[in-house]
Amino acid sequence: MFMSLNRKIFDFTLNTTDKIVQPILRDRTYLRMSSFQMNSLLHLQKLVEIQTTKVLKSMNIPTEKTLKGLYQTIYELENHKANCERKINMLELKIKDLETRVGNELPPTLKKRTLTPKRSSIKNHAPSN
Amino acid sequence: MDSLYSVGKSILSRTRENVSRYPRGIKNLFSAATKEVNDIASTPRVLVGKSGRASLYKYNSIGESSHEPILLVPSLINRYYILDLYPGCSLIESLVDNGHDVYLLEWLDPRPQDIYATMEDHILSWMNWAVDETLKHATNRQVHLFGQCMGGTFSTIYTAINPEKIKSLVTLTAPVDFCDDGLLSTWARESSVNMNLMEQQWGMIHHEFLQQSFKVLKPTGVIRKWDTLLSNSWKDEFVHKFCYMERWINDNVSFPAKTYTKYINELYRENRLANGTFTLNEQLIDLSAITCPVLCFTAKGDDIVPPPSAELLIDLVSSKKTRHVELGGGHIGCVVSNRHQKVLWSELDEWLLEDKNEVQNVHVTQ
Repeated sequence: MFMSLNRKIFDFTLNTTDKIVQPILRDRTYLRMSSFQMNSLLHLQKLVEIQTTKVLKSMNIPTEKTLKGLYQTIYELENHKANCERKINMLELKIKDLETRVGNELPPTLKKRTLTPKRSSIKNHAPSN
Repeated sequence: MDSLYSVGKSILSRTRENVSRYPRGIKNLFSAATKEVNDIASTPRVLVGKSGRASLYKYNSIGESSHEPILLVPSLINRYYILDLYPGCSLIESLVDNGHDVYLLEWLDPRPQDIYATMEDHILSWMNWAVDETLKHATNRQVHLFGQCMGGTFSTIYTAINPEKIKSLVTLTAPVDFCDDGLLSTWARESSVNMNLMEQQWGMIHHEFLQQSFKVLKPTGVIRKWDTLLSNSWKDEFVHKFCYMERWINDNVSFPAKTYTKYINELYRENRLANGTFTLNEQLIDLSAITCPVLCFTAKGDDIVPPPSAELLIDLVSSKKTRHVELGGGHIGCVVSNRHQKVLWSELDEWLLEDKNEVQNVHVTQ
C-alpha cells in the first residue's frame, strides 16, 4: 500500500516535470538563447585559436593549421588511392568479360586453353643472368 | 468477511513476494556493477575489406543460401552492435540462423584526416565500395540493402543513385521527411547555431556533444532509467540486458563535421530530400528513381525519428511493391525489446524470402 502510493507520487512528479520541461525545450526564446551561447562559444574558440597560432608561430612550433594541411593531403591521397583501386577493379572486370567473350567465340578444341599467361611461363621467358 | 479475508491474504502474499525479491535484486545489482560484458557482438564474422572509414564484414550463414545477400548499414552516430547485442538478442544472429548471407558495413572511428570527409565520401565512395565488394564477394548482381536510422537515410539516397544494384531497400527508423514536429527537428530548424563556424572550429562533432543532445530530449529519462533498473532488479534477464545496453549507449562514435553540417543544413533545415532538391556532387537525388521493393519499419514510440518522418518514403518511391510495418517501442526499443524484436526479425525474414514477382502494397501495425 505504502509502496504503491510512493510509486504514484514518483510517477506523478516525473510526468509533471516532463510536461513543464518539454514546452521550454521547444520555446523559441530558449532556443535563441542557447544558439547565441553556442555561437559565442564558437567565436571565442576562434579568437583563442588565432592568438594561440600567433604565439606558436613565433616559437616555431607547428600549429593545428599546419596539421590540418597535412591531414588534407593524407585525405586527398587516400581518395586518389581509392579511385585508382576502383579503376583497377573495373579494368579487371572488363578483362574478365573480354576473356569470356573471346572464349565463347573460340572453337571447342581451343576453349580449354587459358588466355592469361601463367606466372611460370612468364618466369621462363625472363632473361636470366 | 470473506472478501476482507481474501484482501488481507493477497496483501500478505504480495508483501512476501516483494520481500523475497530484495535479496535477489541486490545480488543482481552487485553482479551488474562488476560484470564484464564479454560476449557483446559475438556472432562469428570475417573481414572482407577496408576502405577509408568503412570496413566490410561477412557473417557466416548456416548452410548454403541461394538468395541475394543482405548488406546492413548501421547508423553513423552509434556503434553497429545494437544489431548484434548478445546471443539471443541479435538481428544479425537471427538472419544468419535463417540462412541469409549477411554483410555488414561498419563505420570505423574517424581518423584525424576524416575531418574532410563529406557526405559524398560516405555515400558515393565508401558505401558504393561496400556494395560493390559485397556483390563481388557473394558473386551476385544485386543486394538487399538494410539501413538503420541515419544509415537508412544514406541507403535510401544510395538506392536512388544506383537502383540497378539494389534488389530491395529496407529502412529501420530512417528519417526521410525532416520537417516533423519531433524535438530534434525543431531544434535543428529553429536554432540559429552557425554550423559552418562549428565545422571550421571543431572539424569533428564529438560523441559527447551528440550524446548530451540526445539526453536533453528527455531530461527525466536518466531518473526513469535507474528507477526501471531498481524496480526490475530481481529479473535476471532484465539486468543482463541492461548491462549490454549501457555499454552500447556509452560507446558512441564522433562524426565528421563536414557531413554533419550538410546533414543539418540541407536535410533538417531545408528538408531537401523530401522536397526533391537534395544534391550529391551536383547530382540531384530523386527518390522516385527507386523502383525496387521497399520495406519501411517505423517505431510507434520513436521520439528521435517520429513515424511520419520515416513513413513518407513509401509515398516518394515509384516501387510497385512497398510495405510499411509499425513496430512497438521506441527508436532503440524496437530493435532490442524481446516482444518487438521478434516482429522485426520475422517480418524481415519473410520479406527476404518472398517471391520475386509478387506485387503488393501492405500496411501492417503491431
